[in-house]
Parts: sequence; structure tokens; C-alpha cells
Amino acid sequence: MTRRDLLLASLAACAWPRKTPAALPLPAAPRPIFRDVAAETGLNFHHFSGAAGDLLMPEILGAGLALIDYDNDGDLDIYLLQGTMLQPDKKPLIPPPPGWKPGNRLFRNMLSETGKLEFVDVTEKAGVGHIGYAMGVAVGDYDNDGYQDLYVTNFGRNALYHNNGDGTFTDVTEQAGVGDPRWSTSAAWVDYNGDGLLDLFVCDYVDFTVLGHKKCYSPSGQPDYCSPIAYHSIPSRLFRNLGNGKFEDVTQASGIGSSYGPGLGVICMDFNGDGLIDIYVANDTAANLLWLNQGNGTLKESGLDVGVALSADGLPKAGMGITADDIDNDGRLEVLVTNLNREGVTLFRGDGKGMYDDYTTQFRLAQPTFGYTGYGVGFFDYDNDGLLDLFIANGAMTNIDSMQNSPTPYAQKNQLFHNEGPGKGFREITDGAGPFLELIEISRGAAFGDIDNDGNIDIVITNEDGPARLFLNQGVSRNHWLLVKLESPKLNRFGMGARVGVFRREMPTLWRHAHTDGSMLSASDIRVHFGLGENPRIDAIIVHWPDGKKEKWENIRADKILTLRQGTGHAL
Amino acid sequence: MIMCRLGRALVLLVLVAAPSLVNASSLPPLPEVTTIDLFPSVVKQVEEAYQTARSHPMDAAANGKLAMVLDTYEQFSLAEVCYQRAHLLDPKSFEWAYDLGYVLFKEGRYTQAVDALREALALRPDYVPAKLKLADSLFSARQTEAAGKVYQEIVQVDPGSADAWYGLGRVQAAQGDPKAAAVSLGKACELVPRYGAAQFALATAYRKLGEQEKATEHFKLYQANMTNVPPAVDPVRAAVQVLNQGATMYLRRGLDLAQAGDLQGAIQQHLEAIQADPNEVQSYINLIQLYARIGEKDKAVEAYQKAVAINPNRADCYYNYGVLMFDLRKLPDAEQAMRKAIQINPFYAEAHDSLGYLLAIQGHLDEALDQYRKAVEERPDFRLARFHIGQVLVNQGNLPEAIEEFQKILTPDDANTPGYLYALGATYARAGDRQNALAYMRKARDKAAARNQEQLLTSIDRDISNLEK
Repeated sequence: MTRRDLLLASLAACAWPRKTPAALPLPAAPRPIFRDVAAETGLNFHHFSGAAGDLLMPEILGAGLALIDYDNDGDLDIYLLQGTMLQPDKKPLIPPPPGWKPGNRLFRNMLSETGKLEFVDVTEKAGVGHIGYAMGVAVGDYDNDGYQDLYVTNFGRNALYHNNGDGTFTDVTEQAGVGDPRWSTSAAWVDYNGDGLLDLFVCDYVDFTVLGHKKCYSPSGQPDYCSPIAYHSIPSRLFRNLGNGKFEDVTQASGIGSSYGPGLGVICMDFNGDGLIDIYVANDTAANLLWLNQGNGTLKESGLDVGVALSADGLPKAGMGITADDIDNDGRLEVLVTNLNREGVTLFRGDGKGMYDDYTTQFRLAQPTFGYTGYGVGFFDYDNDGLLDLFIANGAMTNIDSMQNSPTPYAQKNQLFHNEGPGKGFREITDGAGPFLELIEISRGAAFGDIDNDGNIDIVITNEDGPARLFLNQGVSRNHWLLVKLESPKLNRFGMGARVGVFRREMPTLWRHAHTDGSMLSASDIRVHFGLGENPRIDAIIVHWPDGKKEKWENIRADKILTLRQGTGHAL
Repeated sequence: MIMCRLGRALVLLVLVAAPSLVNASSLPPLPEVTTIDLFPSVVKQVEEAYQTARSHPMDAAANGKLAMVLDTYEQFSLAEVCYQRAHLLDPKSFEWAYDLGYVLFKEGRYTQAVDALREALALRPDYVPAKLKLADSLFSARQTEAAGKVYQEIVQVDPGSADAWYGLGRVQAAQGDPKAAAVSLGKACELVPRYGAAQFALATAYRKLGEQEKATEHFKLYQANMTNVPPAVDPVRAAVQVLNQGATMYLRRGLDLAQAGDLQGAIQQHLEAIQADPNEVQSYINLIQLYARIGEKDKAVEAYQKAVAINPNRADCYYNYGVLMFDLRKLPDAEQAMRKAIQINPFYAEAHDSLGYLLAIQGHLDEALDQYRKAVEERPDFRLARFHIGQVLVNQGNLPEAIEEFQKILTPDDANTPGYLYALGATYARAGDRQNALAYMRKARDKAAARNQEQLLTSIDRDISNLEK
């Protein structure tokens, strides 16, 4: 038989229909990594920008969300922020859908009560349905009563909601003195002076007002949203918690007011390893700022000296979202900032001595992110293999020329990257991750947490003029995990700012942080998650508490949610 | 001989005919170009280029021209398609291959940019800007070693290329050789000391080498020259840039010229911007200030009137007008303008400060103080506003608080610092604290002397002498 005969034979086999043997099933489609379950679990929320055609800047910034266990029942509830009409006398270009309710909405997770992941809108009962032009939210227990409180930033006066512990909140903004009237974006709770009381850092953006808004254009003259350069940037604010329900504006006294740009993202961690919590701010079109804590109530801006102000090309970019953690498990911090389309993200790698370098290219993130405007962002271990992966919520802020004729010219797909291990960088898996990443929307906020308490980290995102999405992690990997909840008896009750390490013989130590800040405009799960890979063994857990004390626990089992109370471990 | 001639003729025929061998179906389709909402000056330009390309779809020049027009207005993805068509229709044209590579680089498609630029360089191997762009593309595409080789080639042929030294330095830094990087980057900075990116990269290399002092020095140079780049000598790209007739471009050029001190040039560019878009309100607002600075007050007022007619709600327009009115000693008009600016933008720190000043010189000290305090509330680092607060407090006899305010503005150390130190010293003197008064005045004198601030120095010396008596 010649090769030609063989070819003809195989062609014939293809051409003639034949019965598929019943014993040979078709290969199953790969299970998606995440599935959007917002609608089926009752998380019905639709953001409304109120855009009426005048291209007012706040419209394009969108709004964030918070994951908060407000009723301490052991599951994460979801607080979603809402826009409104900035020009009430005009008609919105995109009207909200039928049945839409104005104002921020709080959805209670019924998982602990009914065993079923389901959300009930409890906004009215809880008293957190502020109707304003909401931007961001920070979650923290500022009065150490064991219940996490909410700070909501707005285009307009901000609001502090005290959690009463009975399913309701009280607006205490005036008494507390934290109603910053400027355009605020992201905010973070941080105990910068180490007194056990969470202080408040608020990113402020630019001095835009509706009345004084400017018309901006693309280079060819098409009307477009303005860049922050069109306005004056305004300093971020730092409010010191006085412990009596009141806060003092220490912006000037702490040094924070000495340097500023249009702030959009903030994360608080110990960036130079001196045991003090620092504050890192992503600025839109200006150098990012790193406020190194001096330990005496002041902070010193050191972004340029430390190497996290600018990417390697020395050009200020449109910094937006931030995430920071130890992505290569070497005990050093890496920091990632999302930027504008045609800039790509910037990833700074720590050298363990308090200095950072731009490693974006080495981590293989420069090119895949170049075409996207990144907003909410997070390092998280979606497959529990012990290496932190990366999710970026994308959506443009200005017209993308290739999408000019599209009805949604700002929409972009979100991106998921798998961490391939030390020295190998990230691999984009957006296209293979299932239908959830096929959505082309204008995504803004992103928060990360284990919403169904199954050990797999889920993602909630907000979309500009679109629905919120709850991407439930399907737990495809079946790797082992541990979720740690920290508790302190009196001060900083949730251990905000603590560093938690999982020790395993012959394996790298996993260091993670307890925080709710980072990403953009959003607050994530305070619990500390560890993916453990195929081996469930844990030799010890060490906690570096924010007050400087260190404790160790042994005989810990994997695959559970573990509460570690300060004072119950072995002091180190 | 005849055969030979015929042969040459055939070859020529083939060369000339080659473009037509590309048929329409093998080209990417001509993109749809819309001119809705473009600047009036741009509409005609784009439409003409588009119509020509549509009526001559197989003409490389027509496609290329459209690409250039789109390119100049940063419509890169559309420009890319048109350059692609031009390049396929006329593969022997260096311009289309180079421009295509350039635009692909701008779009972040580095690997494709490398291919296009290699094709371009095959046609004109000596065109240094294309070589530089190839090296940049290779570097961005993570082909670090290849990028390094190309940069090396350039500096060997043209050791005066700051861009190539900068690129080489970045490659060396990425390869983990900060020492070599510092040498290359040092050369780039030597050639063009105001090269911001090179100063930044050099500072970073020194920081890596542990030479903190040098790092700080070059970070400072970077901060002073952040976006400055070496002058580009690239006729092919200049041919694209020159096509830009958008108001935004004129405005940008005008601001650059104003920053460089060329006020007449800046005014001319702003007028061009207005010609490109008669509703370009920002140009009129800037012209208020520019005309005022060259003493053409009537024209400044005219610019204000035109700005207000286009948009009556621009806070910066009223602010500029308020400053102009102050210069003309029309205090009520200045005050009214500042109040209007604040009404539109209550967070306008400079307007609060200016209004405070206007109130203070009219003797309304309490109201002035209120405005100054609003200014520092908006901008806690606003030293001038704090200085004004101190002045009012001194006038009100509240010396301890005045001293407190003056203490807050002693850093950073710049041209204003001697004056602030002097004010602090004088306030201590009024408070009867001779020791502190002398101490701060002497500091003020040293700093004023170091900055050759003669007038201030004379005042300080006189006061010191009185205090020492």
C-alpha cells in the first residue's frame, strides 16, 4: 500500500458516517475555574453611573465593593457601592434596569444560617443605603468592639458607618470628624502609630467639580473623559483615631500632606521590614508614593529612593489598583500597580533590604497587560498550589481608538494569570478559564475572599453601568488549603496588618498578610488564605502581630477555617 | 546587446509591476474611518485622505498618507492597517515599513514591530532611528541580548547617540550588571544632561551599586527634567508629526514654549489652537495669563471675555482674570473674580489664598485669615498661604501662633526659605525673644547670601545690626 492509498483510505473513513461506539464517551469539557453565580444567589446589583453625555470625570471611575462579615456569623457579606445622577436635570444615557434600587446595597450571606449560598438585601434594615456618588469602601473595626465598620468614600462627603453589632449601622461621620468633602477614592484602615486603634487613610483625587467641569478631547478632537492632569490633584488625608469615637486630621502633622498626586489606590504593609506599617499610594499620572513609617507619628515619602515610585522607564503612569504580597515565596514583598491602556502593569520586586526594582518584564506581565486599563487587582491563590496568582479587572477610562464604533467603547475583558513558580513568572490563562473571562465589560472594583467557605478564593467585581459579578471558584485543583482568622482580645481585634507564616519542612515558608485594603476602591476578606498544594502537612504557624509580639502554633490541620487568638500560642 | 537591454527592460517592468501583483483580497480591508466629533480642522484632512484611499485602494501612497494622518492623531490601530496595506502594496518603500514598525511598537506588539523594523532596515540599513526602534522593540519583547547588540552597533557608529547609550544601559541593568549600566547611562546623561529617563535609570543603577549619594543627585536631576528627551532627528516620523492640525497639539506646544520662556511663541501656538477649534476655551484661559505676562493687558481682557462667552463656569478663567485685575490695581474686580472661582471650585487653594490676600490688603484681616486657612486646608503644603496666615497673625498681635505657622514653612530649602526665616526671626524679635530672633535672622542671612538675594540681605543685615545693639 502506497502513502497515497493510505491517505485515500483515511479520507474515506472520515467521509463515511459511522456509528460512534457507546463505550467511548466524548472527552468532557474542562470544568471552568470560576462561575458567575451572582444572579442565581440573589446578588442582584446593577451599577448606575448617571452619565448623561457631558463626560463628567466621576462617571468613568466606577465604584467598588466590600467583603465584610458584618454580623460575625462566619460568612462574608457583600456591600456594593452605587452612583447617582450628577446632573439630576438631565436624562441618563444608560438608564438603570427595571426594579433597580438607588444607593449602596448590603447583601447578607445566608450560608451559615441555611447552609446555602444565597444573598438577601438587608440595606434598609442595616441602614447603610447612602444615596450619593459612592466610590470606595474600607473595612475595619475602628472602635475594637469586635464588629467591622464601614468607611465609604464618595465624590462628595464621605461616610463612616459604625457597626452596632445587631445587624444595624449608625452613620457617625460628623461625630468622628472624617467626612472629607473632597473627591475621595480608595481608603484604608491602618494602625500607623501602633496604639492598637485603626487610623484612617483616605486617597483624594482631583479638585473636579460638576459646575466647573472641563471639556477634554482626544488628539483628533473627539470629546473624551479628562485625564486628571486637567485638574489640580489634592492631598490624601490621614485621620488619627483618638479612641473616643473621634478622629483628628493629622495630614499635615504626620507629613502626609507634604507630597501628593491624584491618589487612586492604597495598600498598607511593612515595605522595608522594620516592623512598622507603611502606606503605599498609587497615583494616576504621577509618581506613586511610599510613606515609610518613622515610628514617631510621622511618615516620610520615599517612593523614589526605595524604587516603587516609577517603572523602569522613569515615566509616571496612571497608577490605579495595587496588590502586594510574596508571590515567589522567598519571604520578600512584591508590589503590583495597575495602569492605563498602553502602559501595562508595573511589578516591583523587593530585595529583602527595603529596596525594589521593576520586574514587570521578568514576571512576563509587560506585554499581556499592555493593551488593558487595569483597575481592581489581587494576588491570590486560586488553585491552592501555594503560589499566588493574579486577577485584574479591566476597563478603559478614555476612548480606545480600535473600539470607537463600538456601543461600549470602554469595555475590556478581565485577565487571570497563573503563577508558574519562582523564576518562571506568570502565564495568562484568561482564554482557557471559562466563560467568566469571556465577558467584555467595564470592570472596576474587585474583592477577593472565600465566600462559600470551601477553601477556594472567590472574586466579586463591579462593572460600570453593569451588574456585579460573583465569580465562585469551582475548586478544580482539589489542593489543600487553610484559612486563618486572627483575633486579638482588646486592640486591633482582627489583627489588621499582621503577618502570618505557614512552616513546612523542606518546603518554602508561606508568608501572607491580614489586610482588607489594596485592589481599588474595594475591601477584601480579612482572613488569611493559604494554598498548600498536594501535601496537607503544616508544621507550624507563626503570627507576627501588629503590636510586635510573635506567636507560634503547632499541630495544625489543613483544609479548615482556623481562628488564632492572640495569647493562645507559644510566645516567640 | 539588444537582448541585454530587453532583459533590463523586463526587470524594470517586473519591478514596476510588482505592487500590482498584490490583489485586493490579499490586503487587509481598508478600515472604516469616522470623522464625527473631530476638530473642524481635522475633519477635512481625514476625509480627504480617506476618500483618496477609498478611490485608489491599490495605491500605496494613498493608503500610506491615510495611515500617516491617522497615526498623527494617535489612531494607531487604524493607522496600522493602512500602513500594512501601503507596505504590502509597495514593499520597497522604507517609510511604510518603518512607520508600520513604529506604530506596532506603540501598540505594544513588539514581536511584529521587530519584523517590520527588520524589513525597513533591510531597505535602509543606515537609518539610525529605525535601528533604535528595533532595539527598543527587541528589549520590550524580552530579547535582551539581541537588543543589546543593536544598541552596541549604534553607539559604535554614532557614539553621540544618547538614546542608544540609554538603551544599552537599560539592557545592562536588566542583565544584572549595574556597573556597566552606570557607565552607559552616564554617557547618555553626559551627552544630554536634561535627559530625564536616563537620569532616572542612572540613579537607579547607582542605588543598586550602593552609591546612595550619587543616586540622590541623579534622582534630583531626573525630577528637574522628568519628561525631557534628546531632540529627535527622524525625518520620517517628523513627516507624520507635522500633519497634526489638532487644537490639542498646538496647545501642548504652546505650554511647552511657555515653560521654556518663549511667551510670544506660546501665544502663537495658542492662537493656532483657537484657529483649529474656535471653541477651544483652554487656549483663551491660558492667553489671559500669557498676554498679561508680556504686558498686553487689553488682549488679556479680551481673551477672558472670549473664554467666558464659551464657558462661563471655568474656575481657572476667573482665577487668571482675578490675578490680571490685581495687576491692574482693580481690587474689587479681582476680588469678585476670585470669589467666582471659589464658587465654582470650593477646593481651589490658590484662589482662596489670593482672595485672602486681596481681603488683607483691604484691611479685612479676619476674613483674610479665614480664606488663608481654607487654602491650607485644601493644600497643607501651601507654604505661601501659611506665610500669609503668619503675617495676619502678627498684624493681629497673635505672635505665638504666628511663630507656629512660620515654623511650619522652613522646609524645603528653596528660594523662599530665606524670606520665611527672616519673617520668623522678625516675629521672635517682636515677641521680645532676642536670642531666637538673632538665630533665625542669621540663618536667613546665610541662605539669602548663598542665593544672592541682595535686597533681602540688606533688610536682614539692618535688622540684625539693630538687634545686636
